[in-house]
Amino acid sequence: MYIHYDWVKDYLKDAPSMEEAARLLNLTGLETELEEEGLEIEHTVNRPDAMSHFGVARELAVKLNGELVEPPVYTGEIPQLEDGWKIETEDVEQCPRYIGVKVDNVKAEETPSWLKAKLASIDQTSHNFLVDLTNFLLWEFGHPSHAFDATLLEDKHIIIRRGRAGETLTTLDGQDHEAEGLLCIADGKRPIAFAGVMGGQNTEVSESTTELLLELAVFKPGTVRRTGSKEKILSDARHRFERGVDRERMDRVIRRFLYLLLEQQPEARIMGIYDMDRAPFERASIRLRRSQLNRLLGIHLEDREIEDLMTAMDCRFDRFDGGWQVSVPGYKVDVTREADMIEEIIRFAGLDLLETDLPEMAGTDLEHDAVRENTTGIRRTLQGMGLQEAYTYSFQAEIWDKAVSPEGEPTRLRNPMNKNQAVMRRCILPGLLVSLRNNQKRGIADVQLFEVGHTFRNGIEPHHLAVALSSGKEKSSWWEVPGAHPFYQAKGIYERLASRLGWDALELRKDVPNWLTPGEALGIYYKGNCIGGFGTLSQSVNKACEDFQFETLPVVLEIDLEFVNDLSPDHGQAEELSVFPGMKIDMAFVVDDHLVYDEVNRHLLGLNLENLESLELFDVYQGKSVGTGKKSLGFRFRFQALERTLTSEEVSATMERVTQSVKETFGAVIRM
Amino acid sequence: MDLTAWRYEDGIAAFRKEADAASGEEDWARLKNAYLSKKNGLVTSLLAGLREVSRELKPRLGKEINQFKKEVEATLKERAKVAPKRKAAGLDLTLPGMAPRPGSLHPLTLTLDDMLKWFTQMGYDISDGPEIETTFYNFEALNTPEDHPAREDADTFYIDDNRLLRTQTSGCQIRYMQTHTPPFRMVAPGKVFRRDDDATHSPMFHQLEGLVVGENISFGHLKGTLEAFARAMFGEEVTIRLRPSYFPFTEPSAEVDVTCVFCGNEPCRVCKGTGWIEILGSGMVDPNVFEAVGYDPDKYTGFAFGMGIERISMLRMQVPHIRYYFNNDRRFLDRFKVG
Repeated sequence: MYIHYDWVKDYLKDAPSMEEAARLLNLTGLETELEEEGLEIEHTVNRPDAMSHFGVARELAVKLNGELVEPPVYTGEIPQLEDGWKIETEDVEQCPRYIGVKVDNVKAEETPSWLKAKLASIDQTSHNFLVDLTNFLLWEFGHPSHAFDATLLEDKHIIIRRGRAGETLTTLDGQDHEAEGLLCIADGKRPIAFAGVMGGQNTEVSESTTELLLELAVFKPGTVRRTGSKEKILSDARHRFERGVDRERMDRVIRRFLYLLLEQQPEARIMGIYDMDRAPFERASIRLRRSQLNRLLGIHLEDREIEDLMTAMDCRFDRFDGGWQVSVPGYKVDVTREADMIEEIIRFAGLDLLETDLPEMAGTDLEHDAVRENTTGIRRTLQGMGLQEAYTYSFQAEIWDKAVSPEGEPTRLRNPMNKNQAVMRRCILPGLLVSLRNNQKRGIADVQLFEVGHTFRNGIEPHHLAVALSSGKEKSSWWEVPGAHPFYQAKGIYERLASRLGWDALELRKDVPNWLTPGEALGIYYKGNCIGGFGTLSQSVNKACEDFQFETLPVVLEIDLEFVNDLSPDHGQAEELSVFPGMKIDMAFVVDDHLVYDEVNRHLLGLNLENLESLELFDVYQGKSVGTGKKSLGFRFRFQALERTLTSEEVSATMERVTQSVKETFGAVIRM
Repeated sequence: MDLTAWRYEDGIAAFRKEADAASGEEDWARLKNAYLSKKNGLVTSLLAGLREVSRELKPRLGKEINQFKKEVEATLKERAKVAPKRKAAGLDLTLPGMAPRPGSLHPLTLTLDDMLKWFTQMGYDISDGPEIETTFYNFEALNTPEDHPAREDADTFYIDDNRLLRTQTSGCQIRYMQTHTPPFRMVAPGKVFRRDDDATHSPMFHQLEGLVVGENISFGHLKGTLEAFARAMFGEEVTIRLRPSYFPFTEPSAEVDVTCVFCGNEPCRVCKGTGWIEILGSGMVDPNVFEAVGYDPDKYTGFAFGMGIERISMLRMQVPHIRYYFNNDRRFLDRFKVG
C-alpha cells in the first residue's frame, strides 16, 4: 500500500525524515520500502490500524513517543434524524452498528484542488466532491464510508439483511450480481449495496444529487470476505472491513466528514444522524502478568518503560500486584489476549532488546525412521553409481499418470494452474521421463536421474524411488566399451541397492508392471505383492503422450519403499578370515543358449563344493567358436579353508566333480 | 647343433653373465629372443639338437638342458614381473582417468542435509507429515479459522472442501504436539504448495519447520537458536535481526533477517542495498495453538520457525532462478559437489 509521506506529516508534530520513518516502521513490524515521495508498506493481515495515513503517523508517534496531531472535526450539534427515517439490521452479529447521517443541499461538484492533489498523490482518481470525500476519509483514517443519494432510497428505510431469491445488484464497477444469500444494505425495496464490499449503481451519487446519506458502519469481517470472494470484488473497503475497523473512532470520522463538507459547502444542511448501535463497543480488557511477560520475552523491562509505551498506545491500565489490567484502544483490533499485548510492548520497545540465548533442555527422544534412513542410503549409493538426483513436482498431467497407472483414479486438484499439474502423482516415473526428454531437447543425451519422494494413492502417501536412464546413448568416455543391453544397467542398480541396503526380503519375477517391456524387465515382489520393477520402458507408455516419445526406449526403475518399515536396521556382521592361501580356478563350458544363468548358478551352488569361498560369472560368450545356438559361460571358483592350506589334489578332485556334474546335467562341453 | 661339447655349467654361466649385464627393456627383449625364441632361440636349438645325440649322452644332457631351460625361463619371467609387458613408455598422462561419470545429489538435498545435521546436533528430532493435508492441520489448528484473511483462496490448491496441498509445513507442529509430551525440539522438512508461478515463485517448494516447547522457552531462546543456525549456514561473521511480523500461529511473531553475505553491509543487488536478507519467519507459539492440541498455555511456552529451503540454497549456492531446482537440466545438476 502506497502511503504519501507528506500526508502522514499532517498528523505528526515533529515528523522524522522519510528515510528515518521507513527505518522505524520496519522496526515496528510494517515492512516498508522507500519510494520517491512516499512509502510502500506491505501490511500483514493483523495491521488494519496502519492502513491509513493517520494510522502510519500513530505508529511513528508511539515509536518516537512523539505527539500525534488529530485533524479538526465538526464540533456543532447533530440532531437526531427524524422525518420517518429508519435504519435496522436483521442480525446484530453481522452489523452491530450502522450510522446514517443525512445532509441536504449538497452538490456533487468538482473537487477542490487541495483534495484532488491529496488523492492524486496516492494515485486515486477524482470523481466528484462527495465521493472523493468518502475516499479521502478511507485513506485518512482507514474506515470505509459510503455516500448514497438519499432521494433514491425507497421508503426512507435502510435494512442490513441477506439478499433474497431473485434479487440482483449492479455494483459501482458496472458488474451485475445475484444478491441471494449475500449480506446487503437494502432500502425499503431492494439491495443497494453489498455490505462492506461495494455500493450499487441504483443509489449512486451523481451530478444531480442534492441530498446525501452518509453510511459509516461495522460489518462482520468474515462475512465481508465471503461476499467479496464469492463475487470476486476486490475493493479498498473490503480490504479494510475484512481485517477490522476502529470502532472507537466512528463518531470522530462522522464529524471529520461534516467538517470537511461544511468547509467546502457551508450552505449544506445537516438534517440529522441515525445511530443504530445495537452492540456498543467495549474495549478489550487484558490481564497482563509481569511473570508471563518476563517468561515469554526472557528479559526484564522496567515498569516505567512498559507503562509509558502503553500510554503512548492509548491503552488505559490499572496496576495490580504482579501486573496490569489493560484496556485496549479500538484501533488495535487484533489485540485481545495477553500474548497480543506482550507483542505490542516488545515490538515498540524493540526486538533488539532480546538477549540471545539457547534453551537448556535434555535432548529429545530421537525416533528411528526407516524410510528416512533408507532414503539416505539410496541417495548415496545411487550417487556413487553415477546417477544424478532430480526433484520433480508432486503433481503431474493426468495423461502421464494414467499412462503408468491405468487402473484406478488419481487424486485430482480442484483448482490446478495448468494441465501438467492437475493430479497428484501415483508414480514418480513420468516426472523423470519428462525431465529426461527436456534434457534431450536441449541436446543433452546422456542423463541418468533418480528421485525419492511421496506418491499419492488411496489417501496415503507411500515413498517411492524412481530411476530413469537414457539409453542408446553415445559413447561418453574414451575408455568405455560399448556394453550389454541397458536392462543390465537397471538390474545392476537394483542389485547394488538391494545388497547395500539389505533388501533380502525382495524377490524378482518375470511378471512386470504394465509400464515395463516384458522380457526386458523384471518385477520386484515383496510378500507376494508386486511393489515395482525395472527394465526397458514399455512402448505403450512411451507412446501415450507427446511429452515422452523417446526414439530409444529408456530403462527405468520404480519401487514402493514402504516395505523398509519392516526391516530392522542392520549393517551386517563380520566373520573369521582365513590366513591361508586360497586357490582360484576358472572354468568355462559351452551350454545351450536357452539355459539361463540363474539355473546354472543355482546348480553349482547346490553341489555344496568343499571350501568354496566364492563363485562368480566372469564371462559370457557367443560366437562361431562355440557354435550356433550355444553359449559359453565362464565361472571363477575361489577355494579357501579356514584352518589350512588346500592341496591342488583336493581342489582338482572338487573341480572334477563340477565337470562331471555340468556334463551330466546340462550336456556342457568344457572349454578350458 | 652338436651338443657333445655342451655343458650345463658353461651354458648357465654364460646366461647369468648376460642377464647380470642386462639393463633396460631392450636388453631383456634381446635376451628373451636369443634364448627362448621358438624359431632360433638357444633353448629351442638345444632341444632340437638333443634328438641327434647318442643314446648314452641323452639322459644326462636331457636333464641338464631341461634344468637350463627352467632357469632361463624363470629368470626371464621374474624379470617380466618387474617390468611388465604393458606399454609403459609414451603414456598420455593427460587423458581423463577411468571412472564412471560422477553422480550428484540435488542441491536441495545437500542444503537440507546441512540444515538437518545442525539441528540433530542440537538435539532436534526430525518429523514428517503428509503433503495432502486437511484444512484442520493446515489452518484451523494453526489459529487460522475459515474467514481469516490469511487464508486467501487464491494461494491454495484444493482437493476438496476438506483436503488441500499443504501451504506450509506448520501442520507438522500440530501432528508432533498431538503425539509427544514437552519438553521437546523438532524440525520437519517437506514440500509445500502455493498457487503462484512466476519468475520468483514455484508452485511447489520446500520448507523446514521447527518447534521447541518447554516450560520456560523464551523469545531470547528463539533469537539465540536462529542466530547460531544462521552462522552455521552463512558463516560465523553474520548476525541476525528480528523484525516484528505476523503469523496466525505465533504471538509475538518476527521475521528474521541475516546480514547480507554478498556485500557485508555495502549496498548490493541481493539485499537491495539494505544490508539485510530476509531468511525466515518465526515467533512464540500462539496460546490458541497450544489449546488446539490440549497443552496448558500457562504451563508451556515455545517457539516455532519456518524457512524456505530454496531460499537458503539460493543464497548459499547462488542459484539464479527457483525454476532451476525442478527442471533437472543436467548442466545444473552437474554443478553441485557432495562436500
